[in-house]
Amino acid sequence: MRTKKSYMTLASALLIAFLIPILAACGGTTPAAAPTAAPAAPEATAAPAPEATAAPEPTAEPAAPGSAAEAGVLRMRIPNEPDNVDPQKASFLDEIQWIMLNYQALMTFDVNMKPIPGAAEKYELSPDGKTYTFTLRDGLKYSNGDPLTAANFEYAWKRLADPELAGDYQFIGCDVIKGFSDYAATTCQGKTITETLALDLPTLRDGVGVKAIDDKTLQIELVNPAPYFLSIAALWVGVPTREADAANEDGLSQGVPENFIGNGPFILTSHERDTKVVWEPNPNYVGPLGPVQLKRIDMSIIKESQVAFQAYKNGELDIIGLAPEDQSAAQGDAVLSKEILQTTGSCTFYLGFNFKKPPFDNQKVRQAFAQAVDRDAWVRDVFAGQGAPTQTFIPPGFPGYEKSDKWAFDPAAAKKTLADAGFADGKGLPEIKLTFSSSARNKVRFEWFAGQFKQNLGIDVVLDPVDPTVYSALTKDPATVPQLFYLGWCADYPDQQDWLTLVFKTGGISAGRTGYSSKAFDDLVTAGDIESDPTKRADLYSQAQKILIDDTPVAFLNNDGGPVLVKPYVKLGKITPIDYILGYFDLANLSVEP
Amino acid sequence: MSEYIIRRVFWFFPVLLAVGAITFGIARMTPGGPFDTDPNRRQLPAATEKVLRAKFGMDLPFWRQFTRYMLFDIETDPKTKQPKIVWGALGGNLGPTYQSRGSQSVQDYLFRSVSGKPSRFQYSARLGLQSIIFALTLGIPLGVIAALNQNSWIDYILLLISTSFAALPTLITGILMLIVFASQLKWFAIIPKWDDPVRPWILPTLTLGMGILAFIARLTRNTVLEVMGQDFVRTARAKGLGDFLVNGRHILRNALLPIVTILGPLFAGLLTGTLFVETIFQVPGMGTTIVTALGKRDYSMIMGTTLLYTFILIVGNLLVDLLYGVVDPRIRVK
Repeated sequence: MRTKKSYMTLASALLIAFLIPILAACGGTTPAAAPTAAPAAPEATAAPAPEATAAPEPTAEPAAPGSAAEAGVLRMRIPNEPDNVDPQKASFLDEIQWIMLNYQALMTFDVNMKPIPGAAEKYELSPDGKTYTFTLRDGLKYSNGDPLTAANFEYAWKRLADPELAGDYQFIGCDVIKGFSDYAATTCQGKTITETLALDLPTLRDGVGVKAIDDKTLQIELVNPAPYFLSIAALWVGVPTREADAANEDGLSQGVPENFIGNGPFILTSHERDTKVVWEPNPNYVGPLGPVQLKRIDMSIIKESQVAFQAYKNGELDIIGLAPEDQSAAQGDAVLSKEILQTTGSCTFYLGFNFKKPPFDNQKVRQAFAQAVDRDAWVRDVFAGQGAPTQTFIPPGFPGYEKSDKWAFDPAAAKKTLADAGFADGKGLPEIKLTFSSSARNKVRFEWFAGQFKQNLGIDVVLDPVDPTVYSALTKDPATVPQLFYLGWCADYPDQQDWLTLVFKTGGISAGRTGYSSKAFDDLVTAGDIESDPTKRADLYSQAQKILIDDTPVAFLNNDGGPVLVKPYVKLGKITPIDYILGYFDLANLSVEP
Repeated sequence: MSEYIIRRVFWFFPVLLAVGAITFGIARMTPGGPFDTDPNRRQLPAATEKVLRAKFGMDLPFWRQFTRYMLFDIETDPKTKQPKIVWGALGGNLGPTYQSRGSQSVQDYLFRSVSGKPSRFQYSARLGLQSIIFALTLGIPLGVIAALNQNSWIDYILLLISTSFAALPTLITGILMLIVFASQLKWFAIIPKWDDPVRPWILPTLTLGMGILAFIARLTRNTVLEVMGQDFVRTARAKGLGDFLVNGRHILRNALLPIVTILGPLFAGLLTGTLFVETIFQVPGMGTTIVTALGKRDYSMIMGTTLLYTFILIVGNLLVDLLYGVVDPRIRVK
């Protein structure tokens, strides 16, 4: 059967050999007929089209039609054309990747994820902890040679607050930067856009506490002391978008090279939509990431991971993420298995409990559920070993990570906790529905989950798959949050505040939905958010985490992460869980030497 | 004739409006909205979402959102307070995409060429046209050969092959093609270079074309067989006409009618992109557009692509109706 089919395919290939050049209506290279070697030259469009006959003719042209490894050129895959790479609007990882190759923020991170000066040379903090004065590095320029001064940063931060812009990450400045909430009155105060436009916007804009004192000095005033602000200053939200680019919203948002001029380690030199993106080092780059050794980054946009895997095997890519489907093939291969590199992720996934729906208002029931899931098996069997089991919120490697095994998998203890809650063997419990984002993969995963509760607690959990977009809509609205659900949280920046305060403080992103509220926890994280002494601060957050784990508003299950394939001639420096491209924060040590 | 065409073109508008209304209704009734992103990512704060909803006119009454999208709307500029007319889809404005948060319009997304490369629509249309031409050029002769040699070995082989290709989804044949011709034989690169006008097109055209070819060959075979058994063919043979004249003029011409009929929908389906073939061979066309738009609830993109598809379909059907008259003189358009 199979031979017949490939025979037919071959025959059709020969037939189409004379058809295609006619269709293309222009001279082309030899079509598929040649069996040994096909012509490689990609730009050779002017090559004369030989009279294609059905008879295969060997040609003397080079063998590999794909691009070959080249010194200094990193060839990687991205799965999609980003939707919007405007720095003050973007929010997705694939968008942020482009922005951080192209721009440099005031701060950046070192390989241990500590904030260090980026475009700034140094910073000073006022004694009250509320005013940061950044001194920019000497000789800062945009990649096109335009001077880059503190005024450009001032413009970008105020643009972030622009109520008409309504960027996805506008909220990040609310109640952090002085005057920000008054200008971004929509996002920060919930005013409608009509109400906001009626305000005196130019004055409010001037009131935003970001000021260029002179060309090299930028002052940012905060509402309260906020040690995590240095991390926010390292994000894409405040990178210096040029006013000229912002005026061309279409060009900037779609990453048109002429309208995407930055100060980052790379320049976007070519962008073929949906196909190929080329980055070259920025000769004007000044900052801690240099000197850049790479000569070029070629990104190919490949939507299907299986195709990317074939391209990697074919030597057309140097680095790819390994999809679960291809994992066993790679592990079983003598060559590929040596090229697997395990990475750790920046997300934590958890089972969420809705406090407003019984029985999850009962702490013991939540704890019983937390004890009843075999997290090791969950990661090993259901996720094919990608990622790691966890019982705490902050992932390993991030500041504030503390290992916990308080709710370790223990069916006997789980049963006992459930009995303590008054529901021995699940008797008397209302119907429990586990809602999840429906996909072929997730169906298997959550059937496994239901099995755990049946087996370890004797409870029949009803599975409720919903369309992914509907799932987002359900889980984000406090009125419709399901009784039991599965979600994740990924780091915006490496700081405890981004995890504990934003998510679990009363009214926070998860707590606001599920109705979790703990005064003790709130007091600790609020104190931590403004504490300037790093040791005291870490201790406050540490205490808060203990309360969080004890209260069990959610059951933490696993961190993401997974294998990537890296060709042996790619020399990586240190990698971190928040890399924009693998090895980004150790860019000076990233090289390709085939 | 020209009066007929004008009348048909006039009917385009109510058809597009009706299709637009149905699509709009279904899209809006589907739960979840364009600002609900990947469940595991941070969701937009409710206050920011409110601004975006206002920007996209989602707070307007339902009927007005529809007329605003399809026909026109009078908007007051918030700064200058001047009213201005904004034309809708029937005026060629397919609206801003929600995915880009309004930074790009649907027509730019589909039809604008960037950095000297063809637009997404052009890529898809070229791939579709090539595949149809490939399928017709080979499929009709193969079908006729099979019918004329009914129940011979050649008929069986063609039947087997066309059934296999009609049964196998392009997702499978595409990956197989890629593994055989690119990974193993190394005739092609897996990552195509679209500067080359020929090479990157071969595998996707073949993959897409084989499925259609199989379908067309089977259809041709069946209709030729049917026509062969009819009285006028026997009469023609009784008159002593040669094989060539009977097969060519009497049989084939009549057998072509069903093929012409399917051409309209076939064109519309292929010109607006094919999901798997484009994904596997990384054709920068519009194949994934509608699926992505449905998943992300990008209302303007859903409307825009559906209207585009409808437009090509009704134009295709009009051409098919005109073509009938050419193939079969008994059918005359009035």
